[in-house]
Amino acid sequence: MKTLKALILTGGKSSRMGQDKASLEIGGITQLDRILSIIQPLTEHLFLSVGHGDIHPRDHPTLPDLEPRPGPLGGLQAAFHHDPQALWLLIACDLPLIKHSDLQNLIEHHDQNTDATCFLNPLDQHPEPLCAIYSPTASQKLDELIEKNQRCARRFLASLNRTDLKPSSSKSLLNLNRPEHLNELEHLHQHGVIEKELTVEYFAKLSQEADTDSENIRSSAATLAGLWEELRLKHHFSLDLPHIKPAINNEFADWTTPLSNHQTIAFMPPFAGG
Amino acid sequence: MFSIQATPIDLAALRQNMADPSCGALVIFEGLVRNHHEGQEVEKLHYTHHPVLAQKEGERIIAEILTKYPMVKARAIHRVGTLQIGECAVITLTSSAHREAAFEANRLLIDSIKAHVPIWKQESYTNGKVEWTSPCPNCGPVPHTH
Repeated sequence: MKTLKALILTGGKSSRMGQDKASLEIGGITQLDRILSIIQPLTEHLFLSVGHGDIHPRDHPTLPDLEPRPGPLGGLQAAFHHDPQALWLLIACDLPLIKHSDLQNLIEHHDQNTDATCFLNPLDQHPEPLCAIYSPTASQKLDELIEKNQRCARRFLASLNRTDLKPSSSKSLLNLNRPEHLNELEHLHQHGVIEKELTVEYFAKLSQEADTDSENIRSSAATLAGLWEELRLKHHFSLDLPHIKPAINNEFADWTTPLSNHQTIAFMPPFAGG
Repeated sequence: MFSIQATPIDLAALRQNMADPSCGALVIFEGLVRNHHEGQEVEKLHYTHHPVLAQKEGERIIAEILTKYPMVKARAIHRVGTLQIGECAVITLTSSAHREAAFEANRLLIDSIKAHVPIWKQESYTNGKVEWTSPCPNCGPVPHTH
């Protein structure tokens, strides 16, 4: 049995979020402390991924990137450089709804004959690269990819021989990319996950991409931004939040507005009258 | 008054409705369907809208114009449905005692309609392609010249 080691991607300043995601607090605990608390019972070999040349002391051992700005795959590369024989659990710190049981599930189902064990995101059915266990066999494929200067973590994982699992809830892999998502998570934290029945209307390009003008859905999103994120992934919309105008019951609304049961939500792409 | 209609715009009737003995100036802007867009030859346009919000926004914009220019009368109509080249897609009419206020109000009216009313345009090109048009990147609250 190979040793399981964990590498936590602490990110750094996020341009869309406007601040460092590791230090974001939800419910009085930072994202980094929350992830640490669920990983510590699983392995004593725990490392923080930090930037190239970063020798700043932390509360846990660090693994600096081997080169400047290599993207998230650079963290995994540094991990295999540190120990090529370990199983590496690679995890982003901005997964505020991931549970200890999800990680336990990854560990229990990891098959050492496959390159990786990961979750399929229930919202879009894509394998999630930043919450996965990588076998030493993945290391060689990673080096080949980086050699070709390809840095897309999703594409890397998609190319591996994998064991795919289902996370404990549809929201387990929700990540924090925008301030509106932080607001969504604060709502979920304060009021709990409440399922609602909603009617969603799409206009113009969005109705074409969703292949419908409207649909009745059940969602446990707390705010407009959370609902948009679910539907954006479901329908693979080509536009994201800054370009969309939402409305609730025929009134324009702010992305941070909480949702209630039986509302009609409209999502509108940029207007093009005249 | 703001309205959205699927039938052709009757300019003569509109002009007559705007007539007011106290107004010495009537400015009419007509947005017409042109036969080209970013180098492609356009065959026709199809406009869709959010029925409730488009009406509400249009009325809000007219009210805003009347507040900003109390001496001006303002009227606007936007078409929806399929329009052929040369047809009028949007018309804005403003009248006032003197031309300056009517010109200014008209400019603000058409710019606000383009920026804030939930209406979308799908272009059919002569090469068979059909595309939802993105608004010009310079469009927005700042008036600019096309």
